[in-house]
Amino acid sequence: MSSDVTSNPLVSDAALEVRGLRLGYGATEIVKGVDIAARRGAVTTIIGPNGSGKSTLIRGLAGLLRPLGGSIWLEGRDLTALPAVRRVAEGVGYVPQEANIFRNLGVAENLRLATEFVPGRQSSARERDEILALFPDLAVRGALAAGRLSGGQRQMLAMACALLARPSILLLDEPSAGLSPRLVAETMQTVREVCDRGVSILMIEQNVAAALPVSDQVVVLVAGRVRLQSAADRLLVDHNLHRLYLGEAA
Amino acid sequence: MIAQLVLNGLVTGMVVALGAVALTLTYSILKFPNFAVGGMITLGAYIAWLVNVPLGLPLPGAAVLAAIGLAAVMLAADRFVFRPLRDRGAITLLVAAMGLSLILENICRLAFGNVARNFDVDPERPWRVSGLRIHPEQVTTAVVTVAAMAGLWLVLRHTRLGRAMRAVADNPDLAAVRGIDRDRVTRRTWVLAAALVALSGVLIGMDRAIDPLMGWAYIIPVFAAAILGGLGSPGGAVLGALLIGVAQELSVLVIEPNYRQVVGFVAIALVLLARPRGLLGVEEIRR
Repeated sequence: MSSDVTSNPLVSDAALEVRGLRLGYGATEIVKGVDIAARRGAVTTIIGPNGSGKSTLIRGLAGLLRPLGGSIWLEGRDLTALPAVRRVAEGVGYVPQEANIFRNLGVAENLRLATEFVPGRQSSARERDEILALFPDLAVRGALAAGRLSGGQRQMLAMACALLARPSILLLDEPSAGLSPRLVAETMQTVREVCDRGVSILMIEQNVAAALPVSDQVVVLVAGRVRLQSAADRLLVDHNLHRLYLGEAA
Repeated sequence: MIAQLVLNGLVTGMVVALGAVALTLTYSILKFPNFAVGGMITLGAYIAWLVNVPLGLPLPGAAVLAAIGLAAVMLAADRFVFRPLRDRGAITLLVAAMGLSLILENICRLAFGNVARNFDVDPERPWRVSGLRIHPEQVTTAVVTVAAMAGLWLVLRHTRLGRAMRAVADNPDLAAVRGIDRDRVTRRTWVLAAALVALSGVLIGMDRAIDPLMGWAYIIPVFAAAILGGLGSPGGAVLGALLIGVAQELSVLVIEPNYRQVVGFVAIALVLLARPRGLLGVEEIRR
């Protein structure tokens, strides 16, 4: 852990805690002071309509946007001022929605780069084997340029790379985007498996029907503000909540 | 005669290749066309001349010191010129690079005057091989360029720095979340680019006189080669440079030698119209 990262006892069992976070581009504020606590060892899914600020929020959590205000805490450490390049060493794993692999580099090179520049977070050989066992397709495609993988394989490669750095929290930006229904189901199953192995997950997802069954906690984001933070099973069974926040079709 | 022109063109292309690869490297990482490459060629040649003639060091040693000196200058330029402007967009950086080129050129003019200079090397007679005249400097140029390209290939393909450079060139945001420090990669890219351009300046200085305007003569061929090969592709830059070099030499069969530069302009225009990503460039995905 870096010496300039301040510590603060958590007020809950949150792995990642966001307090009054404001994010935007230039003078335009997109995320307007959100408070989110992503529980340790759980899948927390952020849902919301297009333009609600979900992608801006996750980019901000990954460190790719400088916050306009508020704070971000991981396992009690203040990450707010850290850029993306240093957050990964603190335990933040991030899988972007698109462009989530180095497409001109080989699969093996992508996997190597997952930890090569992250001091202190290299996986042991056993951990590496366990992670790669989750994605058996990748093993036989080491020399292939990653850009030639299918959409599903790219998603798997991106997740494998993020996991190899042994993150405390894994941020997933719409892992189901662009995938066939069968691959969406497989991806969500993998998300659940990864979480069950002890990695806390904060996921953004448009495909609510696919994401809710594997989620423990749901945050509804509307116009840059948190409208609801609830247990996922409550949202699934409470018809009123479901209709209010997700619509009948969801 | 055509074979001689092709040979001369390949050697010219090799000199151009060093600058074109440097240009494409910095473009890959920094996403702007470094117009200062002309001023860098001039300064590299003058540093080598300073070490070679007034200080009396042999030319190979002078070339190494020129590479080190130019790298130091470009690191300073990155820190005080390019880095503060990095978020202002490619056009701002392009204009800054043009300004830097003028500054470098005029520093050389102020320090060494407008008089043409030459390296302290003994002139040797050309060899005759199968009817071709091959100058020893041409062999030196070929050996130095091939060695430099092989070294660069090894760096890019088989070292930690090379992987980091290719990762930043491919996807800067993803590189950041993989822990790759873009500023550090940028600095090292400037060092590599400066070394290549300094070598180019020395090889040009061996072929012709050193003067403050020598870099300008190579800007168009260097840009044409990088664009023809595909900006961002080092292999493409080498291929583009060889094609431009040969085309320039062959053009004297139909146009006045003084108008050879037009070949570079025509190449740029044709590539931009017919195949904007160049011969080996990767199609850019707009997000």
